[in-house]
Amino acid sequence: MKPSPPKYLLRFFRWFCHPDLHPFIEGDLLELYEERVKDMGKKKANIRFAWDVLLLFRPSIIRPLNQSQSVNHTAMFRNYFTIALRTLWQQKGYSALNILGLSLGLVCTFLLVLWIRDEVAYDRFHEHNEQLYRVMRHVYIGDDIETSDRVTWNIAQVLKDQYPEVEEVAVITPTRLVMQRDEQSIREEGIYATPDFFRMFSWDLIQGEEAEVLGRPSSLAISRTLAQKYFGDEWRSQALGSTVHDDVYGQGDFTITGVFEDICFQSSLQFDFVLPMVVYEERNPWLYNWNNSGPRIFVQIQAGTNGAALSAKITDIQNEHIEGFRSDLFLQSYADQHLYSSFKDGKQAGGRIEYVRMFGVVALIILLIASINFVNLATARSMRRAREIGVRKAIGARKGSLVTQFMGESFLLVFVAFGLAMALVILALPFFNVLTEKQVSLASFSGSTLLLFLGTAVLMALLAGFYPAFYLSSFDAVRILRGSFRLGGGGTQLRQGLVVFQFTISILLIGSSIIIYQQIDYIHSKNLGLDRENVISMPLEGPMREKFNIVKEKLLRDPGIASVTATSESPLEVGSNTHSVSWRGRDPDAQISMNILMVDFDFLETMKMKLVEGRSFDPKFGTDSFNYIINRRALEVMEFEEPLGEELSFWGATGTIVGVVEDFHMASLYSEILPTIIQLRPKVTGQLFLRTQPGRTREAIASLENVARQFNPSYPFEYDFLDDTFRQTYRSEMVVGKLAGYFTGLVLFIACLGLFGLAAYAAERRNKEISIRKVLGATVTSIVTLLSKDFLKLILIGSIIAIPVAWYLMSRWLQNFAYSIEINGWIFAVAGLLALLIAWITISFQSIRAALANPVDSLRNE
Amino acid sequence: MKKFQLGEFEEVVMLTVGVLYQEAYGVSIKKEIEQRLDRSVSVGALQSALKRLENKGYLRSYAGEATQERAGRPKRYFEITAYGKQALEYVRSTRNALWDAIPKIALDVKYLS
Repeated sequence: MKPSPPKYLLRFFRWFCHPDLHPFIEGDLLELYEERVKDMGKKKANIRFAWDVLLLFRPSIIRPLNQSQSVNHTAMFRNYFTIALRTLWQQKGYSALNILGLSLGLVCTFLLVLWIRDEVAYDRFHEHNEQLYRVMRHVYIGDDIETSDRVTWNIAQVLKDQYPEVEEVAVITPTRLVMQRDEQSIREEGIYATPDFFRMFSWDLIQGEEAEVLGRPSSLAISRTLAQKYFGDEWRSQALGSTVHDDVYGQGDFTITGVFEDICFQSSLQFDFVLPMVVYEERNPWLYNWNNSGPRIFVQIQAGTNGAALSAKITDIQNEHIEGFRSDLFLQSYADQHLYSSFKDGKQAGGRIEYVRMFGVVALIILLIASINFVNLATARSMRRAREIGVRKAIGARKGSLVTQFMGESFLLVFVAFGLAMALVILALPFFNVLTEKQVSLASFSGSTLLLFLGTAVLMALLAGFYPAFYLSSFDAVRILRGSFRLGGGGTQLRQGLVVFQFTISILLIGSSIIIYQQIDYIHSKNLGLDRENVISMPLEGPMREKFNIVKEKLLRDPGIASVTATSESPLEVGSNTHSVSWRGRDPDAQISMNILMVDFDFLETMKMKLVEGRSFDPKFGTDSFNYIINRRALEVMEFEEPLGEELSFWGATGTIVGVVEDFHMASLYSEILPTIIQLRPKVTGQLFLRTQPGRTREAIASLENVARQFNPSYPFEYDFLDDTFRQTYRSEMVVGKLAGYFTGLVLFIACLGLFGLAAYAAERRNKEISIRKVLGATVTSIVTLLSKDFLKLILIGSIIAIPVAWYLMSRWLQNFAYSIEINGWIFAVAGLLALLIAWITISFQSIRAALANPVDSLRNE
Repeated sequence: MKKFQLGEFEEVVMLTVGVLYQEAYGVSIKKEIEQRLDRSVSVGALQSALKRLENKGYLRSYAGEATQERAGRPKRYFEITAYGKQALEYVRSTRNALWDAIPKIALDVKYLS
């Protein structure tokens, strides 16, 4: 046999070569090849052959794109278009199902794309974005590593002086300011910041000079909103240079030196005014101690320097100055703080990025599920088109042109769906914004967003149209026209597989949503060890704090108020802790961190915390300020058999334990309950808590306001409900839970649309069979069962696949919480049954109609 | 005025087609050029040049007999058209005119250096 060049190269050549030239050039190539095989062997000949083929790939040799220029393409496309519209019109129901399914799928995907884009855009609007980092630290506490962005003030100076890579450093810490308007005091939230702050970040200064805004200790920069609020519409001429006086917090007088544009909601840092950091420094000398932390530090590194390398270099800045504990510093990219905020055991452990990924996957799945409907309906109904395909083929349509036609139809449908989806998205935006607490507006639809939407639609059209186009165009014309054409089993199996897939995903999502809801519900209803209903809190400051005893007495005169107390911090978010508690029998090497909560009398009563043993603080005992109440967790750590009367000492004082309370949750349910010591220190309290009698909240608030106005006339009156504050902590979980719920519903709905279409088709196809069965005496029930059985079987298979996957995914999610629900088998049973039920109802519409129809109608046509 | 468009490689190809007279087809032209001018010619470059020349009307082609050694593929023979001959002559005469116009001294300098 003669040697021949590689087949694929030859095929490639034939594919691209101009048909007029092809036999001659191929002859030349073969002749050369043969000669070369003789001269230099097969291997080299092959390489030369490939090279020749490659060099032949040039415009003058390549076949023209349109095979024959003479065919009138416009006419052909117009024909495709007409036929597509006629088919759509003829089968209105199916077209509506298809378009609805596709557009709902697109709506979901678009909304998710908006959400994801919004999340990803956080904190990236600064000009020096690439160079901005925040200083963070891992603190080693016993076996735990806690990660925080609150660091020691001194680090800023060291970074500035000793690290040439660092270009700018900004230090900030939050603060508040009470401002006056129309005799009213209003509390505003802002920050202290060092002068570099405005230079490093791209806050948009409307008035004032970047370099001087925070130049003097009396400078103050305010946001546009604040300027409008206090200076009215004339703020542009009024605000700058005006003096703001705050005697409530004793901040003193400030002159407004700058007005900045409101901080956009895509910034993690939110503030309405900026005060110079020096003011804070002067009043808080503890800042300079290496053992203390509080402020946040941001650095801007030189362009072109490696942030990761610098991060590794600064690890021990603080460790060199401290003893007894370890605090490793590192840098995190400023833009990453929103999405990558969680740290576990000193390593980055996700954060919101997990939700972004999750919803990205969900978006793709929804796209897929909506496309599947199209595939299923198109292939199931292909029999109706078979004759058209046969005739087209008989009069000379190539497979390629049929593929073009059917792809075109899917593009047409998706195009219609796209228009509908855009309209729906625009309508749904306000609702979406409320749901997700975002501010996505039409104006923020940039060109790239629209392009992304279009890309999504094209992807969907391809996904949906690809298989039907190839499937339909592969029909055998002869068999169709002879009338012996029957659909093979392959199509049916594929449809069944796709239905199983749709319902697997639906059941997976239902199960997951139920678990997310349960977990959120669990968080809300979990016994926190205190009763957060009917508790009102307000900041305790000024004269009210100094005369707290009188205040308390006055408040208690209102029968609507059950009890009043004050604490240093909210018991739901205790922040102060110490490692230095010592007790009898303590292991001297163990590092044990304990929370310290400082309270006034009646604390346990107001919070309704349960005493396990001992007593609460009581004014009758004069020495209670040296006594402690501990929580059960602390008792476990201290390992006392008889805790009452044992001595504890920390912070230079010693006292005895007088009571033990049930554990209560101080931080979020993501973290575990820490051992806690409650101490009686009326002098350092800063927050007032009062418990109202159920149902008398309004009166209680009225008397609280009365008292507040009387004692603190110049202070703003603000109060919170403890359960609201608590709910705020889990806001993002709730948003995600709600989103998951809605999208699950939509996915199920889309899947059911497809099922509805399939069931309708099945009923239609088996019309005669059903009629004959009825004539022979079949009951309605038996026919409904007959028609439903096939579909329900598929959904059953779907649930069997979905359950283990959902189980695995959800147990991973629940691991994020220190306190979480157990996954129950019944959840999946419910999810499966729910899907089954909804599917069954969907099918029943069709099957019952078919079963009730008069058999004569379909039989007499024969 | 550009009367005839003929690139250097195209000119070589045309002349070779003339040289080979009656025997000018893809492989033979390629070999002839490679042998006479000592340069390698790729099938692609040659074929596109041939096509171009044919489009310009300088060459015409006809299919030859199918032979066994080419796995039944026919050869495509080329010959120069009258118009092609004009083009070649035009090129030659312009070159000659240019040669004649060079003063002798200009070429002497070149030999010296």
